[in-house]
Amino acid sequence: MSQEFHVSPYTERCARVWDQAEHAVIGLSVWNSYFSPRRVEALIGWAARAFTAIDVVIPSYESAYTLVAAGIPPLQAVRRARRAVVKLRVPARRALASAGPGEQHLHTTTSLCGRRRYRYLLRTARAGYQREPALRAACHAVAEQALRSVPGDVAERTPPTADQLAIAARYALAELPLLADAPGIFGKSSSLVLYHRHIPLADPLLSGATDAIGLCPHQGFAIATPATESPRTEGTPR
Amino acid sequence: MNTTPVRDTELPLRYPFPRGPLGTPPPLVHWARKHHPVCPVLLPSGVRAWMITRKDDIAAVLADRRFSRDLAFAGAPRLVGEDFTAVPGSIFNLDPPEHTRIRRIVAPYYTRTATERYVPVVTGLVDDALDTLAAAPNPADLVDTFAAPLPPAIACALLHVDPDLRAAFVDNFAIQTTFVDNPATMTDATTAIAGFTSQIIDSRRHDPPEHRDDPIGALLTAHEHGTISADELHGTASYLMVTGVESLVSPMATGPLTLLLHGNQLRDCRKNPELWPRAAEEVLRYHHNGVLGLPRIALEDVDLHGITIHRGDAVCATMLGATWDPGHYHNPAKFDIHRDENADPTFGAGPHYCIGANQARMILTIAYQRLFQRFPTLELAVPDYEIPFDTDSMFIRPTTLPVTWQT
Repeated sequence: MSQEFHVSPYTERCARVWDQAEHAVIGLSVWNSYFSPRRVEALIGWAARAFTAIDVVIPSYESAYTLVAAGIPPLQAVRRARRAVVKLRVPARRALASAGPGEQHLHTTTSLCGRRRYRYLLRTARAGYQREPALRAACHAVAEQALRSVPGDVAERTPPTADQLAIAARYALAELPLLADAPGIFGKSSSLVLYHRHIPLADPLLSGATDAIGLCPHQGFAIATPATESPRTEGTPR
Repeated sequence: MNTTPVRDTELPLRYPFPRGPLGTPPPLVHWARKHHPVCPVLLPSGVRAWMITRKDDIAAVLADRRFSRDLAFAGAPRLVGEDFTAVPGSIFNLDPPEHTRIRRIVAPYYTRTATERYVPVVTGLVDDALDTLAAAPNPADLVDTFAAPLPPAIACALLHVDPDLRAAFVDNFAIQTTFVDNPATMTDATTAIAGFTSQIIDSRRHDPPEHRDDPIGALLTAHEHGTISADELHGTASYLMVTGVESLVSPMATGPLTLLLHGNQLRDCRKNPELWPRAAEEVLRYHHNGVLGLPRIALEDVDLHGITIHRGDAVCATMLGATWDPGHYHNPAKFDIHRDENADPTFGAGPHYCIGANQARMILTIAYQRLFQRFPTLELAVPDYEIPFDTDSMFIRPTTLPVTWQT
């Protein structure tokens, strides 16, 4: 039987984007037990039915920056990240093929650099990070939470240093373009970003706390959780 | 060949063509070489052109005076918009004897012997770029840290351009080789480069003779002696800068990528450093830079393979067609640094044979060798199928190349 998902838009504007249901971006994250192969397949299968079009995005080598910041040697960190990405890619590809959209709708933050709009927004995000304290603080908050999730001795302990945050923040920066303008990146008139819990990095975009990178007026965000469960506001850090 | 099957072969072919995997030529080039050696193509500008893809045809057309490079007139066929083929006086846009007169002035700086003189400067700049890479967060993007910034640094050094003058104009260089949506953007970029070139030339006017021992210095002196016009000075200086930068960015990225994908051949180079020039040569053959080549124009009717190319028609020579021509290259789809054939056709033929061929070979050899010596454990940080190529550029290049190494 097909699994249904419950959708909780963040704001009224997000609800309007959900009403249109034109396009969804499904973000998957590594080292997150929520995204079991079965869950990934169920989520993609449901979204393919609920939206006119979908695209699935999994992180790329940027995940390794969290491990590197936590003290793991880069080569080892990258290999761990690659293995984790494959674990998401396999069920995501299978689901996209069987649900209809096809595997060309599976992307990583590396493959998205083939799209002009993503590249432009990534440059904008990086420049904004250097320039604007509000955006930098938002990225550091994400980085710090991610660092805390790294198992082992490395990250319990003392608060991360500025250098550690700067490295780990690169993961957040790769994600920012998708949060700012998924319609532009995927050539849609509106788009809803779905994740199983609240995405803190969306907040400064929605509230206007940052003007380093603009939010597309037709971009929305929603929490999507299995219909049998209530929406989660907490969980394993991304 | 290990290329995807060709579908949708309605003529004229619409350019740009879908690329092959990992920076390999569009399968349509191979299809056209086999079935339509003189193939009608619709350019992004809306102009129709003939595409030639066989090595022998390309060599013949490029040496044939009935095909002109002089497109510096209003209404000339363009690939996209008013790019540097519209700049009057540029060496790129002249036919003999004007072309020969200008080429003689700059040629001494591009000979094999002259190229040798630049080895220490280039080595120093490559090492500087590698220092930057070593200091960057690991993993790093090799395009951002190495392939994109290194060619402008080298071009500035070899052409005696103050790097401060160059910085703001690199984007305009890239636009010259982009399939931009709006031809006006191309016109603006061409205008910006012309302004920038004037600034550089003005900054060099008071250089004493001993500081003019470079191509731009020599052009300036020739202009002062009345050998070349102001248009020829500005047009040629501007072309040397654009081509000195943009043509090297692609192989700075595709070279390391393709060598990493052929680990055995990379190991061969490491064991026997004399093979590095062979590696650079094979990268130049395998990837070239762009796909179609900029148009020439027929000055009279010419028959080729039963097709009449009419006077005024645009003709584009596809260098990748030549360097992947199975009539001349054994198993051309195989990247093989040990092959006997060289990459010469990648540099064209006839009077416009690339003046910078020796320099390009030298720069790439040093860049590859120093990169892999300094970072012997370099590896891709992503699976190869994730690496995106720039579909906006007429050059074949990855937009990002994530790498990692042991620290």
